[in-house]
Amino acid sequence: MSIKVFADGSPLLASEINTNLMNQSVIVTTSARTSMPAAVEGMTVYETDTDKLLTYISTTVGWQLPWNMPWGCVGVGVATADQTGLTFTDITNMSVTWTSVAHRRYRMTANFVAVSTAGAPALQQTVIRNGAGSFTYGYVAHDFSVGANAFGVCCVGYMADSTAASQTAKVAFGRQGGDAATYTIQNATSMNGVLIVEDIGPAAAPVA
Amino acid sequence: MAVKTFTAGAPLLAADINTNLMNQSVIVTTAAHTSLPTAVEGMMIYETDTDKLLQYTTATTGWQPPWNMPWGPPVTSVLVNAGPTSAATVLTCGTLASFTPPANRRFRAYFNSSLTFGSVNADIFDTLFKDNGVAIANSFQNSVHTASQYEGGCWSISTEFTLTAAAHVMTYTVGRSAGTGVATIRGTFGIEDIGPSAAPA
Repeated sequence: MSIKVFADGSPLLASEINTNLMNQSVIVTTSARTSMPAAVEGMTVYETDTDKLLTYISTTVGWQLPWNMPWGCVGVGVATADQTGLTFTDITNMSVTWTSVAHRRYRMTANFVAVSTAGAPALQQTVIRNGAGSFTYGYVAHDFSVGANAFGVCCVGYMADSTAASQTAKVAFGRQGGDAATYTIQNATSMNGVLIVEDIGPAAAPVA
Repeated sequence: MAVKTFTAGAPLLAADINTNLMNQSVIVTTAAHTSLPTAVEGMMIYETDTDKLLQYTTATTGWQPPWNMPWGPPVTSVLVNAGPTSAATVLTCGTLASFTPPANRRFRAYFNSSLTFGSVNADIFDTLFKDNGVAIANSFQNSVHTASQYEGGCWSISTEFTLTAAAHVMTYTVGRSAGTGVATIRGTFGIEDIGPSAAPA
């Protein structure tokens, strides 16, 4: 719909109130959207039962947060128990699964504490990857070659342009060389490993 | 512009519709909220003197940015250039300005290290984010350092956490738990609101 400029003396029609005043206001409603007019692109509602501000984007995308803004945290995965004997393995519970909208960007941040066995550990790697393990969102190589000790690990990953699908991001850690060291992901005794996934904004226009 | 209250029987002018209905779907006002009608949940305003788009939530939580969105940094991040540490004494490397959030928001604190190193082989340094002097859960990390070993990149990123509706001062600390050396810490310390954790109070 276009913006209407009213003129003195013109009749004020119900259709003008409905279309130009009501539909271009922020409509206060509930998630049931009882008695809502037909949604049009740009229509904005506030749902009092969910505390959500939503804008109608398109038939495919539907009601979402304003498209041009970051949408924030979509999930947190927390490892809550020590995991021992790792060579290169997914860290239990450092995983987040969510349903993405097409053409959004996501950032994943992971941190945890790893402890190496006695020996001569050489190179280690941290990978944030998809559920099938077939795509890497983030990667960090480490050289903690000082023996059996603990070290803090951080890794940041990105999904540059999402598809509309169920997505999983998970964290794997371990050695990347041929040395004999194994590792313990240290949880509960000091800190829990944490993976945070955030929507950080649009990658392209929404699907119509 | 002032907010207009319409009365029965008064003529409805085109200017009234253009100015007061069309333009005030989102009410343009200032932080003083002069002549603002009684706030109701979902009412939106734009404050021209603060450049804020705000929405009324509840009597307790009041006017806030849209609740279901991330709000970004509540206070400015700080550059850290601290140390060298002294023996095993825990050093407060960075302190953020005090801020008071509403209840039921999620936060993520971060420290992006540009340079951190120990002076003696096999030193172990521990890091923590603290809220009003109390350690934040899952923000602990420790790291082994060889002499003059760099720890580039993100040395420590905390977990997601929530805060009470009260004044908070966040700090980033480094202490030595093993070894004999000292550390120098440089980087950026900050905090971000990343969305709601529950409905507004």
